[in-house]
Amino acid sequence: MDPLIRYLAGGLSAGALYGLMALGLVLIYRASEVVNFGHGDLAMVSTFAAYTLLRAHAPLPLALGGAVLFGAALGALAERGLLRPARRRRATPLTLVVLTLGLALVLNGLAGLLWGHEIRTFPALVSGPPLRLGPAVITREQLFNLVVGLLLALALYAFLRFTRTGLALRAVTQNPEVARLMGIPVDRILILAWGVGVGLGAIAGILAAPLIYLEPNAMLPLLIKGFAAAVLGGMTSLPGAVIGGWLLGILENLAAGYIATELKTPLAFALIVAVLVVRPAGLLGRPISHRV
Amino acid sequence: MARRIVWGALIAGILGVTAFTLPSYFLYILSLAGIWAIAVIGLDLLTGVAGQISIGHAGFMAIGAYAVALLSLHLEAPFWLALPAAGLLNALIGLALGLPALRLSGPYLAIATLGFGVAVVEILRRWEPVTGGFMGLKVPPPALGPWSLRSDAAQYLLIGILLVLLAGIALRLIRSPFGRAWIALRDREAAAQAAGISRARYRTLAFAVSAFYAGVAGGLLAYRVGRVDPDGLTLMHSIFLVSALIVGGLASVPGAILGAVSLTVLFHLLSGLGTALGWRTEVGDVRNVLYGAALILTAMFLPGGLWRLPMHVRGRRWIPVPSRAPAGEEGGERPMVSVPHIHLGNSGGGRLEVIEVSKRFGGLQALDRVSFTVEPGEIVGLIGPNGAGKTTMLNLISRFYDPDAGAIRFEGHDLLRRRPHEIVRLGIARTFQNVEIFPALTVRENLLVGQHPQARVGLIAVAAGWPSVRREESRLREQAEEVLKWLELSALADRPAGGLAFGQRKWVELGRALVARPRLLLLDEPAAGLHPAERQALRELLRGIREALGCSILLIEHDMNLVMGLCDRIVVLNFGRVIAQGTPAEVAENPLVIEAYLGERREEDAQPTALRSGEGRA
Amino acid sequence: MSVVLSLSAVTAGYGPILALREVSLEVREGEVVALLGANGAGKTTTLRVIAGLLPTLSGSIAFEGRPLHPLPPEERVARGIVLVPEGRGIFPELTVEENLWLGAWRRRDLRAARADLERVFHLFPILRERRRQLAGTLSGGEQQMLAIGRALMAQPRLLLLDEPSLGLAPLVVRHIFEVLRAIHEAGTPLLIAEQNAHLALTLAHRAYILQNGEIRLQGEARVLRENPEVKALYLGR
Repeated sequence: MDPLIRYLAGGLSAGALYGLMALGLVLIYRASEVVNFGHGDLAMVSTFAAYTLLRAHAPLPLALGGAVLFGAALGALAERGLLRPARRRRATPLTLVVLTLGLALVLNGLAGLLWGHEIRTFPALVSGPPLRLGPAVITREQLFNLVVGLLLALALYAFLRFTRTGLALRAVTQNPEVARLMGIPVDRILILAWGVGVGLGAIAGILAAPLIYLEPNAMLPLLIKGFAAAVLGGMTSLPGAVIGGWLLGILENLAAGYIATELKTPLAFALIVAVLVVRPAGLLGRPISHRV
Repeated sequence: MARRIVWGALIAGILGVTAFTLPSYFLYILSLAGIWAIAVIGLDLLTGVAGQISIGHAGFMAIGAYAVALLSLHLEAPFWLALPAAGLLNALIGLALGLPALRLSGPYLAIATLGFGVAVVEILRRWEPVTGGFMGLKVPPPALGPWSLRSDAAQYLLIGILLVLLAGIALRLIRSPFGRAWIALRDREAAAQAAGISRARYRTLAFAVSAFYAGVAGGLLAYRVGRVDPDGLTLMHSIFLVSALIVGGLASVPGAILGAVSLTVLFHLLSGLGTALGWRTEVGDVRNVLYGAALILTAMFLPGGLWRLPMHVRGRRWIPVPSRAPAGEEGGERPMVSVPHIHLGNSGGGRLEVIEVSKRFGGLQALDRVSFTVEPGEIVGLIGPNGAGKTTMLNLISRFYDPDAGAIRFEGHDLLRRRPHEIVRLGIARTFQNVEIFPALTVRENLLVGQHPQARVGLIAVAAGWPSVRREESRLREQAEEVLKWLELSALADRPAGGLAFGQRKWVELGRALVARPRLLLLDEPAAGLHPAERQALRELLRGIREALGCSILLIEHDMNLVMGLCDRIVVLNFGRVIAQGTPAEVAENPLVIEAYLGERREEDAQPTALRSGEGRA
Repeated sequence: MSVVLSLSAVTAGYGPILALREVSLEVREGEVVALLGANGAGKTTTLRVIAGLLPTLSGSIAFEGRPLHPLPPEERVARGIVLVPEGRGIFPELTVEENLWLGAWRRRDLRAARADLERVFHLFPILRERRRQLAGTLSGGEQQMLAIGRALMAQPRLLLLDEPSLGLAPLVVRHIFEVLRAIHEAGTPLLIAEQNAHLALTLAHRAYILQNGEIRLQGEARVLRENPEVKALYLGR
């Protein structure tokens, strides 16, 4: 029985990180109808920022907070500087995809130039012996990631549900034109959505970094899994992103534990393709109707 | 024919001379550039021409590369077998991928292709017994009988010749009914289907052809590099292919080549510079930054790519155009149509029966047991206040969705068993409320799309450039010419439809419908947005169409003058129900109709009604 | 009566199509003005231009004496120009109450806003009953009431309504027009685009009739109601 609970715990913990990536992707997609292919590299750059701050002996909260804000600022800049002008020029879906791909390339290259390609280790954020919760054994790191992920998801929910700005954001995701008629500054809300979305990705990257190594290309699996979770839960559903993340985390841990570890990454891709083929709307998303 | 020989000789000459005079290193770089160019041309057919995004194309290349490697290693296949085999294998996989891709569009398709590309690499990495795992396989040079093409010059020639051949095929495809079908589906899917183009068929075909090109390119890469391994064709390469396409120019074969060559050369220049300056590892990063910047700048400021730079400089707006015609300016005279004196050939009119049709959208009953008939040769007007269900009716006839109940028959055929692209073959053509012409195609090409069901050409024939294809094209053009003359559009025939004035576009859309020789013409608000003079011309044109072609016409219209003056009978809808049918005179005096449009003529009701739950749903 | 809103020779369009050609009109204090015309005549375009959703190609719009250009829609709401869009434009995945609060989004005076919420519930009791329901589940008539209530929450100094009767049953329409009358009597000028000419002319003081983007007829509602030309403009000669 023990391994199963271990896999579940590990799955929930990893799933929390995938969920955070997915939340950022879905938030950005719902607000601006853009799939942010640069999300992984934005997260990666933020993680490097945290690393740099830590190496400069900044206290932990400052380094992490600073890095997350840095990521959020990059996201806001991407919306303001890239996507808003593109929208003004009536960009096609292809153009928007291409812009985020271009962003990914530029960030990837800059990271390589600034930090090089040596493999670095990111310091663990929590230390201490594993905890025993009943029959399960869970490392502190796993627990930390799970708790942080859960808290952030709840915080996002609370923000959207109970604040004036959150309400405005929800309105913008449903009908941006009418939101204008309510006096809502839609352009500024979009910047906020990107800032928050990328910020969530930055947090996911920072939490994941101690578990993998840090290198400009190291975030790719996390991005793919973020996509897989978002697609699984439904690109238009925020709760779906969280649930998709957990499902993916659990499934991949079970597969790795019971079948083979190598299956982890292929599973994510297989899931993406399978879901898009069978039910493009995902578990909780709105069905994509083929409109005339 | 003479042109082809001249071009062929010129290219052969250039290839030959360069092969034997340029230094090896240059040949190597140009070979790589040529390989990427082939792949980018294939991607262009899928993304630029057919409008389907793919960021997983390196996956197809990888499959091609490994296929060639395995065929060469295990079967000692010569290149003229291995390469086509790799291409065909990819085409099949492309077909298979194209099917589920039908349900996806835009960003979702991008994600799916991303997943595909990365999945291919993962599979290749793990399938050790066959693929050699992460170590990969060595690939012997391309064999031709007893000789093997080992030298840089030989490989360069091989790649160069293949590039020319494949580029030629791509150009021919784009200018054929296939290319027009892809472009039509890309730009106005509903109108394309109404013109007889099957979405399923052409979308999957685009994937198959595109994958073929990528497979051949992958195979050539395997030969050129001498090995295959899973890290050779990754997501970065897929993004490179997209970059080359965007930077060079979407929907343009020369653009694709330009993009691939310039980015490849740029990279190698950088490498050279890097070595000279002593920075080895950072070249890849500088390349990424430059590619990324090029991608962003091009997408924002030069959407047509470098190939369209001259046009851009002259201040013209770029519309993806396969033919060489320059983009048109706004304005121009509106055609005034006089009574036609050219006989179009009477195709007769068909009988349309709508029987008890109902359709509900969510909480709204758009159509409620609607029944009416259009007799052969009749002009029937479908009118009613906004939201009455008129366009829904037309869309049901066009089969864009299904009714909840009822039947629709045309000349005895049950329409409900047909798919949208089959309707025009039964003799029903239509126009749309938003004037859905294909802006990237010329006026003539727009009409040629209307003749799609009549175009009898096969893929191989087009690719090979057989004379039968040209004959068929001439035949179609002649037919289109008749309609162009009739509508007085001949002067505009070779202008991109996107540059025309509004009234002219309406005429083009009508032309596209007429060229299909319909026996029933469905028109959705043909007079919307027209000046009084144009409306007059429209009225005469429609009468003329009925006289010349003998077809039945069902039109939705709000312009009452037009409707009353033109229609034999009128059907009035309100809240999804037929409230009146009859001649214009009868309908105009019908109190129900007057009430529907102007509101009830009653004394004001002074009692306020407080509303409780349970009042009637709209 | 002073002029609240005036359009001077406004031309506007969508791409190559000119939907409005040199349209001039006025709304004065305390008035209800109707914009009539067949479909495609330009009624919706006029309202969208006033609300700031569509730019003018030429001409000018002044509100309470000040030019509206180049204010974006968000700022026009702050000035008091509130549009109830065609098709209601409610947010389907938000509750009735959330929709109403969105109307007051720019307001700082929460207490007064709460009072206004009560007033809206009083005008439309059904909304109070359904306050926690998702707006997408309401019937057409209820959604229209929600849209109007939401507009009221914005404290409009000019209320624009685009086809409020569209797709609604006659009984519902009558109730809505009564509410509109009450709103007008409380002091807010109304500009209503309507397909249902008779109903609109019953409520309005003055009306303009559009055809093909131009004003063909204008005058007092009383007079227009008896004018046979009106019928002709709608139903053809």
